[in-house]
Amino acid sequence: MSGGIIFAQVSKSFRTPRSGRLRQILEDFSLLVAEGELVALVGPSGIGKTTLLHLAAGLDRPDSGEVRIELPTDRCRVGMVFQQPRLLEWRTVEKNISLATDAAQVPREAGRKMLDLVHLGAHAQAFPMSLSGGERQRVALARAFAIKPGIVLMDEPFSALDEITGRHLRQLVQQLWLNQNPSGLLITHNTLEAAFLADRVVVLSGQPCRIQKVIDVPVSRPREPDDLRLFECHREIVDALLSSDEGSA
Amino acid sequence: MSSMIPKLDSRTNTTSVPVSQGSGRGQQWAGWLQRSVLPPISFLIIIALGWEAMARSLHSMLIPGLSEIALEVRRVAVTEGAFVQIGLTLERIVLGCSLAFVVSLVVGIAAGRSRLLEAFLRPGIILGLTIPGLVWALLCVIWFGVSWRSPVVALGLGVAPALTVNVIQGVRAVDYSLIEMAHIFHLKPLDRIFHLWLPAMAPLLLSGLRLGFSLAWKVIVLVEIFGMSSGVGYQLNQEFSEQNVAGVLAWTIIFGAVMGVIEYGLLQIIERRITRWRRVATV
Repeated sequence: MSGGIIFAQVSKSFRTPRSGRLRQILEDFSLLVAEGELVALVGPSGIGKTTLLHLAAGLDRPDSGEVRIELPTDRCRVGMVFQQPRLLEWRTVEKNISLATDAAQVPREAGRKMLDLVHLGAHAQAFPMSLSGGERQRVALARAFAIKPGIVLMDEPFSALDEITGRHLRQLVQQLWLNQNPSGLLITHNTLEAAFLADRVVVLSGQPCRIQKVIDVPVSRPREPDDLRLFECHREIVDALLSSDEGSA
Repeated sequence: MSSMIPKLDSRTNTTSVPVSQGSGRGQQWAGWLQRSVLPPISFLIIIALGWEAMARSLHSMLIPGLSEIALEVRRVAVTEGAFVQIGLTLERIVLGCSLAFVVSLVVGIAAGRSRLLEAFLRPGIILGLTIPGLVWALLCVIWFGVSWRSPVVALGLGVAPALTVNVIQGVRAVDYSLIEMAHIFHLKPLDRIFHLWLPAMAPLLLSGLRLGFSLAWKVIVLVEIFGMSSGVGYQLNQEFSEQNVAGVLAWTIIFGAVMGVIEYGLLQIIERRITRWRRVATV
């Protein structure tokens, strides 16, 4: 099977700060994100979605098992979009992006092109604080995609934005995905967003967290936000979430 | 009372109350004078008048009047080459503070990132904070004699602990989510220092620098009294040995003024420069 992001029998536990008890988040968890595929992770808060993302990003290590990236060496760069833009507020928009492209040894020109693509070319010399929340998140998207990433990780990237801005940015992500075709993980609480963006939606439940259901989204890109087949998937995701909720209640 | 009532517009029958009005440039200047210039100047005038009143009522050799002090200031500034002496003292302060700054940056960043190292260093920092500058001055004069090393090392030892505390707090103040971001995007080590750590720590570094400067001038004067043959401290000691109170005050006033210019001028310019992004953003 062609590689991508591979979680193989991963276990991970954390000690709860207050009681000091060990909490098993993942146990024997396996998941494969194929090359060029975007997998959305949905499920209740605190179930371990962010842990999975951190493991894939190399911010954390599993207790046992393995998280592997199997991609050509020039496709191993990781771009990440967080819930908050996480920009260096004392540096200009352009500098924020060039710091990432310099580190990835990608020409700065790529960063400027990406800024134009997210319609912020005119704001290259602005400081992030002078931009709106949606514009700042667009800078963060440009930064993640400017480094020509093989892997893109997104942690609730649009949850802090209003519906219309979020919708624009989701379409932007779709376009960037079509242009660059990286592999990726998307954490979201917005089931419609999961259906719109992802190739597969993985519904997680339980503790330790396990895969409750995997829903394929059988719609090729570019997708329209109002496509009825996406609503169908969205309903299927919600049903899976509801049944897992009943199961645990 | 009638002026308090909003005017009724007879045509549209609606009220119009000014919520905010643009103020002219002249008004802004007047406001600035009233808020930022008048209070400190009034303070200085009141202190000077109080001193003069005390001098006149006590008729003491030990409390010279304002005119006598003013003459001394002129003598010191013109015939004693006060600014050359102040220059020498400032040079020592800058050297000593630079040493302290570099040391506390290295130690502070390391201790700020490792609780273990901080616990290990804590007694040293607390000891350093409590030992009076006088002790460092005496020791360094004994160790290094009349050389440039005495003031520089004494200042380094006297200023570094306070500055280190600020650096540690600065490191702790850096937003962890940005450190994560830098890690994921593999930002280069130098970029992390100059574009993430230093700017994020800038406000605390700057307040540390202020504190360091004010500590430095207290230590340097002592070193110059005991072990140097030049500088403001040496001159103060000369005036003291001649029992010239007006001379002591004159040197203090001139040096205080120079330090005031550095504090209000130089450091504030630096501060405005490094916090530019905040102001540009709010415009």
